[in-house]
Amino acid sequence: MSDDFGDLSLFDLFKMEAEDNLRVLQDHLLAVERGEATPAMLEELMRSAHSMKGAARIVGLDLVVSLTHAMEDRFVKAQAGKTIAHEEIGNLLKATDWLAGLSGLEESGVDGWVEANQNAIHVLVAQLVPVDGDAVVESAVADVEMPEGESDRQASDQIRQAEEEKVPSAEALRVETEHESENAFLDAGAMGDGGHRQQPVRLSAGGFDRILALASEALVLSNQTSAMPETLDRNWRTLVRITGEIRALDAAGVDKDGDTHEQAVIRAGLRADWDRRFADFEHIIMDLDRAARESQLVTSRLHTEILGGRLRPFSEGTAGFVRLVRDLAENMGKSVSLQIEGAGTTVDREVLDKLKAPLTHLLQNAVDHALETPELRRELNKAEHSTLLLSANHEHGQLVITLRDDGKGINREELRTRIVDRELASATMVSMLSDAELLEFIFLPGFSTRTEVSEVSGRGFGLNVVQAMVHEAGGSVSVKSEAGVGTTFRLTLPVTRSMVRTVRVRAGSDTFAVPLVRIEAICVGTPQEREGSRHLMVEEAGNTYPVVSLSSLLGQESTLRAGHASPMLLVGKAGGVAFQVDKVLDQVDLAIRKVDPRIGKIPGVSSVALDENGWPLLLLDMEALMQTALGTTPMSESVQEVVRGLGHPMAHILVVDDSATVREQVRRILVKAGYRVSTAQNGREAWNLLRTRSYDLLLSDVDMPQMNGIELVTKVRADAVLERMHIVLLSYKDRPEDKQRGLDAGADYYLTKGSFQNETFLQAIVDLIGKGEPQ
Amino acid sequence: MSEKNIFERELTAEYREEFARMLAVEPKPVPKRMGSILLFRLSGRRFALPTTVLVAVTEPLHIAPIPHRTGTALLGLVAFEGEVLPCCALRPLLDLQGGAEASAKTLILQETKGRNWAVPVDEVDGMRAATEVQLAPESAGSSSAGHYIDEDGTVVDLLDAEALFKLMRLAVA
Repeated sequence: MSDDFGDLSLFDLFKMEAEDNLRVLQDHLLAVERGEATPAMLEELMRSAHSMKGAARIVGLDLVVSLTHAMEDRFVKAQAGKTIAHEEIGNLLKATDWLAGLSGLEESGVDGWVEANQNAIHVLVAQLVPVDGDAVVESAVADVEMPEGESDRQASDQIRQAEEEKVPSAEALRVETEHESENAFLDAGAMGDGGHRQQPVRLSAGGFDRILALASEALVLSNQTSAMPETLDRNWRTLVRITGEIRALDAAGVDKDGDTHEQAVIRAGLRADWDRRFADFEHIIMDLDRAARESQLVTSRLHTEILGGRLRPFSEGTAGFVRLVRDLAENMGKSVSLQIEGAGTTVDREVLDKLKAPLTHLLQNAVDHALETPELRRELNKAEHSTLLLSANHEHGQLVITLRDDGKGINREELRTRIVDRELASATMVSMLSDAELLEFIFLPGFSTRTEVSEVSGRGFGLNVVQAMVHEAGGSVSVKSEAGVGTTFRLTLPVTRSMVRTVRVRAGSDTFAVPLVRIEAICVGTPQEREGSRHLMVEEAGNTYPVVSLSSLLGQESTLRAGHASPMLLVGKAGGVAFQVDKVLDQVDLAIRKVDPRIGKIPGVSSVALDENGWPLLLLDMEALMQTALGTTPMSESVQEVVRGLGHPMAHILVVDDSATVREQVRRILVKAGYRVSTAQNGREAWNLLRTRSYDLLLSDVDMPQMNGIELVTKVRADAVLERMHIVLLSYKDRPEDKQRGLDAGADYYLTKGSFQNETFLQAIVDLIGKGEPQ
Repeated sequence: MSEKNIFERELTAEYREEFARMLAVEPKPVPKRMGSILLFRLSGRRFALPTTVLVAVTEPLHIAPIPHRTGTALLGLVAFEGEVLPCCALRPLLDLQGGAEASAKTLILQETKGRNWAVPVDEVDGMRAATEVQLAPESAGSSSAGHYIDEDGTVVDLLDAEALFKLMRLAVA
């Protein structure tokens, strides 16, 4: 099924998209001609023309771009109140006919079509372009009453917005990368939610037929099995009756040998009946067995077919990248080309969407940081032209994407200097770090080896954002780099986000699922105490891991004991944690869904799924659990020790409240609990601070001047860089609706100010960012 | 004019007394029609909820506990017809004593479309077309909307569904 899409060319996709848009154009234009235009109709016309323009641009049909642009322009004017005259409708319909003619062609016939029709289309475009100052014929849209300037502005805003949403130009991609609101990984997967759920899913006719056939097969099987309970019940009742009658015969003192003729006949009849019913049972069991197997097969095939509808070729997510690299390289005086391998590799459409921003970051970083100018490359005896290779393939049921450049590689000396300059570690400690540990620093928030900020990079949030985005898409990212030769980033992601391969474990009295992609290894280890470490430690495959009891992290009693062997999940490589569990149960693929937002944030839990019994099963957020376990972001032990030694990553909390008294009260409580605290007086001040500095948690009042807490939370959640920040709202308002409003806006916790007096307040902070380190 | 004579005629003392007697009699309370209600038991007490909020009565559902939320009204998550719902204990919300013995039934209640709750109860007595209702005195924040008197004369607390949903929302968030 997925191959159906993999086989489609971009022109095929253009044609598929054109079908819907042409229908809208045709129908609505005729309605306009009939004087039935509405603002919504004009909006749809404009959007359809705009969509076709975007699609035409992607397939390189400039002639169609200019035609659809002229149509779109005319519709925008119509939205502003300039009625479409009768003869203009004729021209617009003519344009629609051209487009319909094009969409009926095979790709091989496109060039000929362009050549044959370009002059006529240019004439049509000239006729469609409205001349300024044209007399406005009577308004067909009576209820559009907007001032000219306002409506023009709105229309152009819509276009701009649409441009940003749809057209994958280099500029748009840059803008998107910096400002796009990356919805939480599961938001789009929530049942009934907006976003991606509202997008239509295209199925080929063949795929649809297969789904229909399988659904029919499932219906037949269902009908077959639906009669079985009744048959079973009937047989059961008969058997009970026969048994009763035999017992009655026995109770009457008549045994088999002493039967009269009449009794013998009765007993024989009962026995025959019994045998018949018994045979029926055997048949029904066989039928049930067959139906169950067939049902399993059909359901599995149906699921695979439907899942295939979500899979798209990797090339769909990379449209615009070649242009992006070309434009960036030109701006920077570099000669770079991007090669894409594995364009047909199938990827879940939502994973594909999530990948766009991190891949854009990586491409920008590569062109800006990694690749040298042609002159420098010549001096280094390298080919003047640089190559970026972006490839996608499936490995062991995972999607693996690599981006390889042939640039200068990550300079370890520069990296070490930067770490020391930023006081992340002493020079002595840095010299002791392994290469892998050293490279981990490039994923730290705010870390950049660049000393100046360029147009596209050097802002210091690139790679940690890439890592966070990939993590949220359920994947992981690693880097290898060789000085003078180049750097390779490797992103490992699930092929589909609908199904997640997990390992089920028992922690305490409950069962949880852990995404397989998060687990480096499963082992049975014997944790040992180590001097100077607050954790028990275990050694596995040459690495030393701090051991943490999963059940204690999840609020249950710990069964972790030094010297006692236990099953463990190793999460993260050198910088990871060994999570001790009570039992590793099995491996299972789960269809995940979002946790009900009414419940709010569940520390350490990312989502929920139904197991094979139809029971809820919680999926653990291993990143968050690592953070809670270590009290900081996951890093290798040596890096953690270095950082801990310098006291640098003491969790930093931004407290926002317009009351100086409350600010000070909260600050004191948090400082006493071992956190670093900064304060802001209102949402606006906090927003400015959040964008310039790094914080681990935002603790905000709700009612404040200038920008209130709800607005602040909404802005933070909509920001690509800050959206994953932990947020606690604190307010005097304790009505359920106030609480709900805060949680709906995106707060992890909504606490009342009365909670200062009890442990709820600090517990919420600990749940989110781990314990502080009291001095 | 004969009508005028009838209406303007002098009333007799007996007529006045009879009329006064009639007016002195307190009218029977007009039964308040409440529609149908579901009767259930919890911790030995009887409660009722309007069936308008009832989606289903099911056998006890498997509850997946939620980390860090033990001991609260939120018992965990349950699955009902493919949807995952929060499962909420009514005992702490209604200030009822008694342990959390295995519940006999689970009520699936609908707050709004797509927003259901699972609520375990001890026993379900059935549904009634409720007509005889005595409203309890209003009390702020109370989840009781009044009393229903069952066929056997026992008084049943009629719960205010909206107030109950509010309590549950507050308890699980």
